[in-house]
Parts: sequence; C-alpha cells; structure tokens
Amino acid sequence: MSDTTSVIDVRNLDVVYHTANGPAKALFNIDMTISAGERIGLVGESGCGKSTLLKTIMGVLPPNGEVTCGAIHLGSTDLLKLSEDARRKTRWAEISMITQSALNALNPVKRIDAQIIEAVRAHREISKADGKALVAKLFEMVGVSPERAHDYPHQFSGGMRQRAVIAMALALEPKVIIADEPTTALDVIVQDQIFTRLRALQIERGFSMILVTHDIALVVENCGRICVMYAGMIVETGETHDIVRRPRHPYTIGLLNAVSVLGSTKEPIAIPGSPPNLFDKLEGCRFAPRCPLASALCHGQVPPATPLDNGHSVRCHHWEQADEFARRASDPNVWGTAVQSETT
Amino acid sequence: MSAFWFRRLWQTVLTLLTMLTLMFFMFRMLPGDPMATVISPALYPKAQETLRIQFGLDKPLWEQYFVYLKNLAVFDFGLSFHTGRPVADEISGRLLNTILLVFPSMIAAYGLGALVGAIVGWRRGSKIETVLVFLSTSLQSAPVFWLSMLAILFFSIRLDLFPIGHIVSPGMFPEENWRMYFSADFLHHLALPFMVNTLYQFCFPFLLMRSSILATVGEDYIELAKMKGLTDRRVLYHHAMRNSLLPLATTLPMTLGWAVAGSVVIETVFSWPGLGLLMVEAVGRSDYPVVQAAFLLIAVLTVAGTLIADLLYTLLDPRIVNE
Ligand SMILES: Nc1ncnc2c1ncn2[C@@H]1O[C@H](COP(=O)(O)OP(=O)(O)O)[C@@H](O)[C@H]1O
Ligand SMILES: [Mg+2]
Repeated sequence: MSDTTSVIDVRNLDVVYHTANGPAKALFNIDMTISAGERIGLVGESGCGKSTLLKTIMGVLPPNGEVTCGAIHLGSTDLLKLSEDARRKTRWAEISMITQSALNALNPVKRIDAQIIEAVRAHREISKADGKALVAKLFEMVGVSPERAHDYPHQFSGGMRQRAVIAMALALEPKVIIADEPTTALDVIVQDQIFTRLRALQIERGFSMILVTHDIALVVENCGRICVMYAGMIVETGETHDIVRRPRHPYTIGLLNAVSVLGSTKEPIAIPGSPPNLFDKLEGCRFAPRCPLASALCHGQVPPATPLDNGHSVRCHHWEQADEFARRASDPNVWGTAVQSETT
Repeated sequence: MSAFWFRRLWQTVLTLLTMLTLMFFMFRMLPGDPMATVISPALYPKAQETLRIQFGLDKPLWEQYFVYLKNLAVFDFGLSFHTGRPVADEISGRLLNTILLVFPSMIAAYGLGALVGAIVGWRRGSKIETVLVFLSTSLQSAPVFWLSMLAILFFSIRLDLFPIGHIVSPGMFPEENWRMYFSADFLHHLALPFMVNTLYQFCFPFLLMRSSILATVGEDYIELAKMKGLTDRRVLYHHAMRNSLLPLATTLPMTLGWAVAGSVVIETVFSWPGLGLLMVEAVGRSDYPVVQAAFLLIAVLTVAGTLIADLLYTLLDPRIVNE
C-alpha cells in the first residue's frame, strides 16, 4: 500500500461532522502521503478542513466527528483500526502537533516543564533529573533560556509560548510534526524567527513536517511540496516549484494570485464568492460555483485526481486550459464573471 | 509574604471592622428598648437612671462604640441577660458545635460535588447525568427545613436508625466536656444532620462543576493534553478538572456564608446546640448581648471562610498571586 519512504499515508479519507442541521461533509476523498524527512505544506482558506484532517490524523476528532471511510497508515499500521489504548500510545511519540493557538494550548495552571515532562511520562519512564535535563535541552533547541522552564504560561510572551509548544512537540522525537497555523497569532517578525528555527530543527533532526496555513506564501517559502485544499478536498498537489511555476487548478491559480509578490506591480486579488455550505448536497466539483472555467461537466461530476509528471496531481476537468487561464487570471474581471453567472 | 496577601489581610480587617460597626449601630437603631428586659420600666426613674449609668448607657454613642470595640478586642461580649454568665462562655461551646456540623459537611459536599460533577460532565449525555441534574435542581430549590424533617421522619422515626435530635443522648455526658466529641454517641447524633446538610450543599458544587467541565472540554489545552497521549483519566483529573475547580473556589465564600446562615435552620430542626440554635433561643428571650455576639461570630466565620477560599484559589491558579 505505501512505499518504503512514506511515513504517513492517508487514503480515501472521508470525515463527517454530525450536527443539528444534519451531516457536514468536512473531508472528502483525501489522499495524502508524507515521506520521511520532507516538509509538506497544506494550504486552503479557513474552514476548508485543514484542522479536521490533522485532528483525524491525531485521532482527536470531537465527539460529533466521524470517519466514514478511508485509512491512515503510519508505517504499516492503519491508525484507524487500532484500539483506543494502542492509538493513544502512538500520539506524540510518533506524531506530535504544534497547535493553531499555541497561546491557549498550554494549561494555564501548570508549570511549563511539568507539562513537557508529562508528555514524556505518558510514553516512557523518566527520572526527575533526566526530565529536567531533557527540558533544558529542548528549551535550548527552540531558543528559550532553560531557566524559564519552571515558569507558568502566563509569564511567557506569545512567541515564547509558541516555542515552548515546539519544544514539547520535539520531546519524544516523533517521526512527524504537524504545525497547524503555528504563527497566526504572532507578529511577522516573531513568525519569521519561529519558521527559521523550525526549518533548522527539521533539517537537523530529520523529522517530517506538515505545515498547515491559509497563507500560501509561507508554504512556498518553507515547504518542498504543497497540498492545496478546497472545501474538504485536496484539489492539487505537487512539488512546490512545479506548482508555483505551473499551477494546474484554477483555485491554486487564484490563491497564488492573491499573494502580493514583493517588488512586482501586480495587485493581489481575492477570489470572489465563498466556499460551499458543507451541509449542501455538493455534486460535482466543489469549486465550480466560483470557477471561471466551470462547465456543465464540472457541476455534474466530481473531477478525478489526474496524475501529471513528477508527482503532480490535479482534480480539475479543465486542467489543460490552466496555462491559458493563468495568463488572464490576474485580471479581476475574469473572476468576477464567474460569480455573476452563478447568481444570475 | 507577597503584596497580594498583605492586601488581602488588610481587606479582611477592614471588612470585619465595617461589620462590627454596622452591627453596633444596627442593634441600637432597632425599634424597642433592649434594656427594657433588664431595666424594668416599673422601677423608680431614679433606680432606672442608676442602672443606665452602670451599663454606661448615659455616655454618648461614639464613646459606647469605643468601649464596645475595646471589649471585643479581649473577647469580652458582656453578660447574658438570661443567665447572667459571660456571653463568651455561653457561646464558645456552641461555636464548636456549629463548626463540627457545617465544615465537615461542606468539605464532603464540595469534594463529592466536584468529583461527580466532573465525571458526569466529562461523559456528556449519560442517563446518570440527566437523573442527577434533575435531582440536584429539585433538591436545591427545596427548603432545607422540609428536607430535614423528611429525613427525621424517615430515618429516625420510621427506620429508627438515628436519634431524632440533640448532640448526645441525654445523661450521657452531664458535664458536656470535650470527651463527648470523641464518642460514638456523638457521631451517631451528627450523622443525620451531617448527611442532610451534605446532600443539600452537594447540589451547587455538583451543578457548577458539571457546567464548568463542559466549558473546559473545548479548550485548546485539553485537546493538546489528549494529543500528548495522556490517558483519558489523566486528562480529566489533571487538566479538565483542575481548571474547572476555579469557579468552585470563587463561589466558595458565598456558599459558605449560606451554609453557616443555613445552619440556623438545620440546628433548629435537629435541636443541635450550635450557634444558630443559640441565636434563635436568644432572640426569643431578647437576650441582646448573646444575639449580637452570635451574629458577630457567624459573620467572622463567613469572613474566615472567604479567606480560606482565597488561599485555595491562589493554590489553584498561579495567575492570581503573580500578577
Ligand atoms: N465540531 C464540529 N462540528 C461541526 N462542524 C465543524 C466542527 N469542527 C469544524 N467544523 C466545520 O468543518 C469545516 C472545517 O473546519 P476546520 O477543519 O476547522 O477548517 P480549517 O482548519 O481549514 O479552518 C468548517 O466548515 C467548520 O465549520
Ligand atoms: Mg484550522
């Protein structure tokens, strides 16, 4: 099923949230492979299901979330088939996570070193002295003075708390570290420092990393591979430079368009309209209502994942028109018409 | 000692002083002449006047106030109108009885309420949850004297499991010394009022803990705790419950006040010779010095409870002292 270098292999994953308004189809047909030692970026507008995918991988979906089909292989074991206790043991030891809001991710009433050692203790014995030494080492790795390890979270600045969570994520030397919008709450300078540190650590330690963000520029800067998500589906995936140079999905083109490139005169444009309601029936391509290229086919049939060269894959019926579309996509009117035609 | 505790102590002193003052003037503004029970209006005016001077009632109010403060400082609450003995002697045993009734049942109620509330809130949607929430809300709105009487009717009269009232069996300890508190007979008498009070006091922390846990479940640090691979129990006891205790600690002074005040009712129904019962008796006899002292002690108990609750709170939440 999975080749030798893949660490996590997500296959055909569907997740539904059961709500009072009926089921919300949060993830549909997700395929994603994370190889050993790679940095992969997951991008998409907020609400497209990035956190849901990560929580499913971590096995901490809220009670109303249900995996309706699919498999998540970690090495050769399917995480979804493990007992709760076996699953618990893989958490953090194999895959750890730097959460979206690290500011609130630390328990306010417990000392930071205790929270880190607690994570280690959940998986193996560690003496008091060893624990202390480990925390000191981790703090040095993330660039916080080890003397501060015995502080409470409220005594830390936002950036320091984020670093503390990174230290915690490194504690058990997991194979994969997931970073879910790790710096959204921080200012740009701190954000930059943290990413530099994370990249350096990743190269030094060799873990795989999934970086999740709504900011495609961050992914382009930090990741070798990109998965573009839209409304619960991965619409395009491939090497970063392939995707940046030659995006094949209109949504990816739109996302790249929305980034202002430093020094260029290009005005960033946002894609008009909003993602579909996940409670709706959702036939065909989920992006079709906002897509200037959409045809009757798009509204009726889900586009299959089309493999291109170099691991590039796209879910679009009209990917062959992408080059031509990309040339005119910087004109806001091109996007406007799609939304107008949808409303009329 | 930190600035926080210094400030807190200072506030306590101020609260107590305000209370003393209010109480002093309140009793003097009440309609009716308290002295009427001591200085009979039937006496000659001259004799009345002499007695007034003896009691210091001829002095201006502010001077009386300072005498009152000075006496309080040495625990001199005056003499009981009824027995003629010092109020301090009358009251000290009663105070202990109230403390023995109220505090253990508060501790039991809060311990149980927090634990059961946490477990029930954590496993949201169980049948037990529905039943317990229904029972607690009903119990909470039931008058405590009614509960007490039901308990006596059922457990004491119908089943004959517990004595009907009092603190020890009559004649067991004619001298009422400390020895009686260590007797099985005392515990036997304590059991029923203790259980009724515990049950009654259980509802509030139980309901509060349950809703507090429900609010905590969605917190990011709970999710992180789960992702760290902690067992479900550890996440509940070390993270969710620990944080959900904070509202319980904040409301503890208030409920402690209710409990101490509510002991008046329980003590009356169970003929428990505590401060509350003493107060009821003293009011009936217009024994003002005793009433005033009992009032004061109930207030002091409440303020002391508040201080304890604050201590608890700072132990629970490091953000308080550090800020
Ligand atoms: N517990 C939940 N119950 C119902 N719907 C949810 C729940 N959590 C998330 N969703 C919905 O699922 C979709 C994906 O959410 P999320 O994975 O958080 O997106 P992202 O991380 O990309 O911003 C959103 O539409 C969100 O409203
Ligand atoms: Mg998210």
